[in-house]
Amino acid sequence: MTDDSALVRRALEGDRKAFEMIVRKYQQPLVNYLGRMTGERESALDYAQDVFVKAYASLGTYRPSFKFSTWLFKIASNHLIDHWRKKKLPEVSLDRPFPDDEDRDGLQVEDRGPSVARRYELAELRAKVEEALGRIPQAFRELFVLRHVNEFSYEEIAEIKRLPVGTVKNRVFQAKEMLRRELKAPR
Amino acid sequence: MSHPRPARMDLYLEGELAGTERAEFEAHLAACPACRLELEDRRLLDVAVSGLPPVEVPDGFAAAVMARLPGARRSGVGRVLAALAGTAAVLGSLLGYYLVTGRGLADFVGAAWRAGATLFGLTVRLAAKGFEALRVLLGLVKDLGPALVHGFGILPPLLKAEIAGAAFVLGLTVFGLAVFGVRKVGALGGRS
Repeated sequence: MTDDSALVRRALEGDRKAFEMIVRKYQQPLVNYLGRMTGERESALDYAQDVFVKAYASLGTYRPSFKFSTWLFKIASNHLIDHWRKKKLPEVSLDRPFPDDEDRDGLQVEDRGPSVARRYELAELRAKVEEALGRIPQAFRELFVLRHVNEFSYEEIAEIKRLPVGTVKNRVFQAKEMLRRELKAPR
Repeated sequence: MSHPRPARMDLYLEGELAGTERAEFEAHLAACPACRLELEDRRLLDVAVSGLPPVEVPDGFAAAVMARLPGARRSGVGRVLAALAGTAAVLGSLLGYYLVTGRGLADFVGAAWRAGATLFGLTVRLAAKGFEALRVLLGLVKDLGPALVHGFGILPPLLKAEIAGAAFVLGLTVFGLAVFGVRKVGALGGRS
């Protein structure tokens, strides 16, 4: 049994301190994820609170055989989707098949061109990446953030998003190529 | 010599290439300066992405979450404290009764019994009045039915065609306003 499972069990028995420990453990990764997805710190903090409240209300449905972080981020991802639907923001459906999904190696970058990363100092590059991330379609951005910011494994992301692992790998790669294109684009 | 696909470079950087695939990839890298440059570029981007600054979480965040949780689920310690508080309240009222009236426990129990009985009697009387009011209301409804049927029976001969037409249009307008008006208001409320 993991530490998280023990904390969940204690929280279910009414130990609020145990749930507070869960909040303290996951508040930073969750806010990082929501911040990168919404592009607004205040919204990210509000959503993170909502996600923890939802998690608390459905703690009884958590199964210790799964990782708690995966379960929590699944709630967060669904919360974001609800938010986008309410706001009627354009979504790129991850359920829509992409021609290259089954042929990841077939993907080509148009041209390797001049270096993206070496054009900037690291700090400047990070600022550019942050800005460019906001221009990537949400559905791709989400997978990219889960992989490269929150450092979930492809298998964990597949579980969070209920997608095949191969599809997740492909979409993360596509997101990265979109990011590179955004960084190369003159602004 | 064919260069590895970009996707393969990413897999290599993420440590997802193993065995023969990895060995072949590294052999190609050793012989291809262009791919080494490309790989280095991709590595720098990975470093930049993984080192993005965290979104700042304020100190009181966890406390704010805890304050929003529904119905305090009382812990074991909380339950003991609540029991202690209850006991203290009972003992306190006993002591207060003794100090104010100078009477003992038996008197207190007697007074508590009398207060309980008074409260019970009051509740029974109130319930009886409630039932009586309900009975009168049901009687009224029972008498109203035949009166309404009689009223509808004598109404049609009194209605002229113009009055019936005006009533129909009025009814239609009210219906339209109710349905489409409510939808409009709902749609406005939905925008945010």
